[in-house]
Amino acid sequence: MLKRIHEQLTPLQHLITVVVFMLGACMLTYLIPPIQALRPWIPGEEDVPIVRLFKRWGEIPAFAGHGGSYRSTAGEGAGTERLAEAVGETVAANLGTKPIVAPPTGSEDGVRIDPSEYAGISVRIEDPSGRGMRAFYAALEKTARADTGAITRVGHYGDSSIATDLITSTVRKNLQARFGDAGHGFLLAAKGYIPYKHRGVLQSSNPESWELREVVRRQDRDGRYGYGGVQSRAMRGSWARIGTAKRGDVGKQASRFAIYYEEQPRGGKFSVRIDREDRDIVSTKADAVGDGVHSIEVPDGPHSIELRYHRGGPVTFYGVAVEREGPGVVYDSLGLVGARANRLLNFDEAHIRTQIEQRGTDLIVLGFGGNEASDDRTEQMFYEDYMKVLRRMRQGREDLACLVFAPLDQARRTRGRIRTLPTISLIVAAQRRAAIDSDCAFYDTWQAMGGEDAMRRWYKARPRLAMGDFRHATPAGYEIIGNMFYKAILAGFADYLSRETSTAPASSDSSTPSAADVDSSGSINSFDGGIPSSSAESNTSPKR
Amino acid sequence: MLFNSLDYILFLGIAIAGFWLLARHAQLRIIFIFVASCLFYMAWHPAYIVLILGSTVIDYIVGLRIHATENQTIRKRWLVVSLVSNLGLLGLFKYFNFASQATADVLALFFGIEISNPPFLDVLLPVGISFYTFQTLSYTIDIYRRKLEPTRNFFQFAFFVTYFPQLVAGPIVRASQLLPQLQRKITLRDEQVTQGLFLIATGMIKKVAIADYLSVNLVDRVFDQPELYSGAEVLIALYGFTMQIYCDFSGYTDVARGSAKLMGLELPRNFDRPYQSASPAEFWRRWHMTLSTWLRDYLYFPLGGSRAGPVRAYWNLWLTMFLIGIWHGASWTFVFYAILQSMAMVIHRFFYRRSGRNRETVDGWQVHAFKVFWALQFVVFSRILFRATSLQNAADVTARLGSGTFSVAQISLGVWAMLILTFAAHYTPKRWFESIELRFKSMPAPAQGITLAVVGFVLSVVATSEVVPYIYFQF
Repeated sequence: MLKRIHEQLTPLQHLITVVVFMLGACMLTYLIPPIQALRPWIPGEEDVPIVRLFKRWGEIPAFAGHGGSYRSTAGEGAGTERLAEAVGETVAANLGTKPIVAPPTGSEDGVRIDPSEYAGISVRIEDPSGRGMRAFYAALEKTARADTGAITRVGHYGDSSIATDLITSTVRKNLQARFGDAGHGFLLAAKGYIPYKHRGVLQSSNPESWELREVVRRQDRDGRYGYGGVQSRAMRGSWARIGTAKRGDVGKQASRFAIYYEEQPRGGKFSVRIDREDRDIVSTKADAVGDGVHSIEVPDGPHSIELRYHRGGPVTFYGVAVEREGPGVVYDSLGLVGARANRLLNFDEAHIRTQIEQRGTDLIVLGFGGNEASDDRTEQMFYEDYMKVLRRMRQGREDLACLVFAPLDQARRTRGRIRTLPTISLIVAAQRRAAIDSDCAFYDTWQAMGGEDAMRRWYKARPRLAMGDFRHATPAGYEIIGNMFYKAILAGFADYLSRETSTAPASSDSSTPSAADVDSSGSINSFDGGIPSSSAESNTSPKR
Repeated sequence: MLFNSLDYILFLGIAIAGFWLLARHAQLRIIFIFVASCLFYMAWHPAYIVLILGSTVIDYIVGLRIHATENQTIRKRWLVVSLVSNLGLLGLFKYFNFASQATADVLALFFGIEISNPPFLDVLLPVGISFYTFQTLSYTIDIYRRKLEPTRNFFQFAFFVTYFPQLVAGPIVRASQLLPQLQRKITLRDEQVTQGLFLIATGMIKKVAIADYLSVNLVDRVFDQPELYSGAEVLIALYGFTMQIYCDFSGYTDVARGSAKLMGLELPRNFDRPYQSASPAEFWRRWHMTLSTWLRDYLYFPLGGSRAGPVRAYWNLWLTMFLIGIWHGASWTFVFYAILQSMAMVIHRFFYRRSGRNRETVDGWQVHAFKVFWALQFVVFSRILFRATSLQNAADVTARLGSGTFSVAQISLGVWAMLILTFAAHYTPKRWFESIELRFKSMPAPAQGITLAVVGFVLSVVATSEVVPYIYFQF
């Protein structure tokens, strides 16, 4: 019968009937609770359709992010204003590369950080005990004082958000512009087939000739993955080249290459070429399995190093560090794609301790949580994991500062609406608790981005700051995070300097606890002494 | 206002209701749709309505002036007024900044002359300017060629220029295609209702369920940070973008054509399964057909086409294809994209001529499949320049492509399924798709309404984010 009625309808009646039934189906979503999620418009939560478009007159249209039309025509001032409306002024103020000017060295005022240098942040490093960052700030003070050869080294571990070297390269550039460029830092010897990219350095290798074993995949039974968490096993014909950058503000010069490798009884040999000229042949043979370092000094300038498998038994590299004499900062980007924090427990305890000591790291940063966000776990479970990881990486060393770097906001799309995953707040809370209980510092990246629903705002912002997977930031977004973290480091350093000056004005190297140190008020950036601040001297690194 | 939004569906409903309620008042309903189209455009940026209205007034007057005289010199002068005003606006808003920067780049690169701050216009690119400019030009050129009578009804002409379904991303409708429809009594046929609704539904599915899914889950992330992906993953992302841009643009055209059909109007087709093409030339006959044929009729033929001398014919072809490429955007990536496409056309023509083949030559299916395969590869790889945000980005993507890395661990099952299904669907016989349309047509109206509502609900569930804009909006 329906068909007969249908055939008798005029075209216009046909159209009206279709529309009426469509509207009817839509009305049902308002009347039947189980299908309310399908409501096309939610009164109260959303602006009135069509009308809402005219409320936003003059906004930049949300074009697809390519083609150059938007980018080339949006004025910078207006762009920042629009971005500030979308993601807040603090975040917007940290977009882009800002010139950083180092003060003249040898100033009579000593080391001083002007508050304007860290203006534009709302989240600072939390270090209630003061023991989290003290060793790092002590080293940084020497570097800032321009002490001869004073290098401050940071090792920033993390997941894919760190592996892009976008956050870390931003912090590296800023710190090096402010305190001195002491070289690019640590790189895997060869990247094989894994996604691995560092900025401000040249790197290439023949991937098919390298076998990589990653701490993330627990591919080595002995847990000897090296400082970077990935061991690169060379095979016949293997080669790897690393060179200073040709462009950019930093990383264009080097005066030392340190090759980190595994020593073993059956170890073979590798050859080293510097600037395409044969330099050394190094044997990795030793009586027992251990960690070796081979350093090569070169005149400060643009250089490249080439490693080649030579002959004999197996040759396993942990990585290569590219450095300069200093004073300056080295910021090692140690991201591992797909990593969860507890994968670091796959490191052999003694091995990772030796690696960190050999590297001479002053601050270790653990930036995980991005992959854990999809795990069905409780806050307590996350907390226990982080406690174990912090113990494994720091191993009670007071001369090693440590900081937990919270994950980025992560969201899921539900019916076209982008909402923060509930696990993010659990992970952040667990990380904060574990950091404080381990005398480590904590940086709340999540809050720095804007907290709950930050990913949605970042995704909708123009320029787009978050990727469409709602897990990663775009390069512009990572740069913002890098800038904010750099400023948080400066702010903490300024607090350290003022506290240090007020408690021990005559010496910046006092090991005597002060009243202020004992009074642990628990407030953010409060400071506790009692730790030998001369962390550099206790380090076994021959390079400092 | 984006088609893939609730706002558009409601706006379309109101526009169609008003259009048919005013059926007895032909002039009023044309004015009604003209005003609605202006509001549609102003929802993006109110100020730029001045540009489109200015262009409309100029070409309306120019059309009448050209028609009013038989003096060829005067006719030509009026045509020049139209060409200069339309192409001038397009050049100013779309190409000025790039030309300025490109000049500075070239001076610095080849002559060592550094211009630190080349002239820069702080303006937005008006949405749809590349489309409506070509539409209004077709009007004055056709009158100049005496192929079209100008309309004396300003609102009819304004309707033709601003008609909202095709205003911002085509298809590029010629005056000779739309004006005669407005000058007749507009009626609605039953098949137009069914086809219109079906086109809107399929257009939405293409855009929301396929293009946006591939964009967010594959293409954007690979092009944003290619270094994090293996060569194989980058290659898959290129195929993903190839399918994404087809579904995005052809989805838009489907919604545009469907919307017009519900008002009893017909807009031209813009796509004909382009990835089934066996050569670059055939690809451009099947992809964005209204742009290709526009440039063929208004540029390639006037230049002499293939009837000019052999060298001139190659030059004509090269220039036309270069302009088609550069039409898509003002940046170095599009310049190289245009060069790549135009060179491919020239080389194809050279070998085609040498082979002694003609249009009647039929290949065996194996040879044809071989050609289709390689034509697709050319399209896929040339898309690097189309999608890349800069030459550096294109170089990064190409470098990863050639990195000799083969992991596909970062490609989700959903993406695999989407790619396999969509490419497979693209190569199915057309009659399969038509049979689905026939099945929809045979449904009673209430069932059609409920089916469309269900499609809408499903799309709202699978929608990637709140609203993802169309790629071609920026052109």
